[in-house]
Amino acid sequence: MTDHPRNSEQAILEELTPIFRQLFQNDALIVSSTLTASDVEGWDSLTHMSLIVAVEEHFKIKFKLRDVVKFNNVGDMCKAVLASLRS
Amino acid sequence: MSEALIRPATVADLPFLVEAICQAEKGPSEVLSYCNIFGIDEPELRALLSAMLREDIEGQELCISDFLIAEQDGRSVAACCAWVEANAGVASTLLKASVLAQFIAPARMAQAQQYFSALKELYLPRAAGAVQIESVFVAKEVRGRGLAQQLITAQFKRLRPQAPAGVAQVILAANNHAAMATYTRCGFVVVGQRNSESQVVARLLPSASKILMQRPLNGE
Repeated sequence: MTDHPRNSEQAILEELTPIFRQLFQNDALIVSSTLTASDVEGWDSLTHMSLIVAVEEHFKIKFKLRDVVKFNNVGDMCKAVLASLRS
Repeated sequence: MSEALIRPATVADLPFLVEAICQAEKGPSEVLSYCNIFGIDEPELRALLSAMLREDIEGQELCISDFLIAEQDGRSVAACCAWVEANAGVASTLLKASVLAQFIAPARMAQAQQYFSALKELYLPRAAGAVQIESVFVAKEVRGRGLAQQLITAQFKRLRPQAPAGVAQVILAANNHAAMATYTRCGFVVVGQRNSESQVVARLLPSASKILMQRPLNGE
């Protein structure tokens, strides 16, 4: 858990990292804003559902569907998390 | 009996589209994998499908705008869904997963996660830039009149200019022999198959084998 406020993409990435590492069972996974599904072994439709649910639960948010379907990379996810936290 | 009118689906077609998705999913069985995986009954699934279709997220199978309807004597009698895979950069499987994650209750999603590793055995990749055909359904009373072929041909005509891969693909349960015969008549050939020995998969899905069929888009 980060000890600085959730007001930047970097702060969100730090909180996302353990979620990704646990879900994809890869302790060495580097979670960056440019990371995409095709970069990560095991990131398929089933883990994608689990990932969305896990991120929503962690941040106590609910993504807007129109935002989620435009996620091209983790950076897009970070922006949606930040937008949800600010709303 | 008049000629069939082929037209885009609209919100007014929602009940028929839900029926088409459910019947296409069942095939020759009575198994609805969504119900088994997420622990919901068929009426609940139908309500969820209707809500998901209303979102109209293009590029995946739960989208009104991706469907064409065959109408005869003012009545919807057949349906076919199609899109160009990853046309906007995101795979259809991820788009559909996002839609499901939005509508399936978190507790049911958590429950379903126990099946995910077994279900992965049947994963068949769709080619980016290829036309994908899904949820082809023809009402019983009008079967044998070529409506499925008309709808598939109309989808090819609609999507060919946006499909750089130059091929069409369809994924179906291996036990759906009627659908396989229809796709074969439409020029598709089997190019891939995945089988599972898992008892879990056998219990959840209409078939423990899936087939990928493909055909070129040119010439029709």
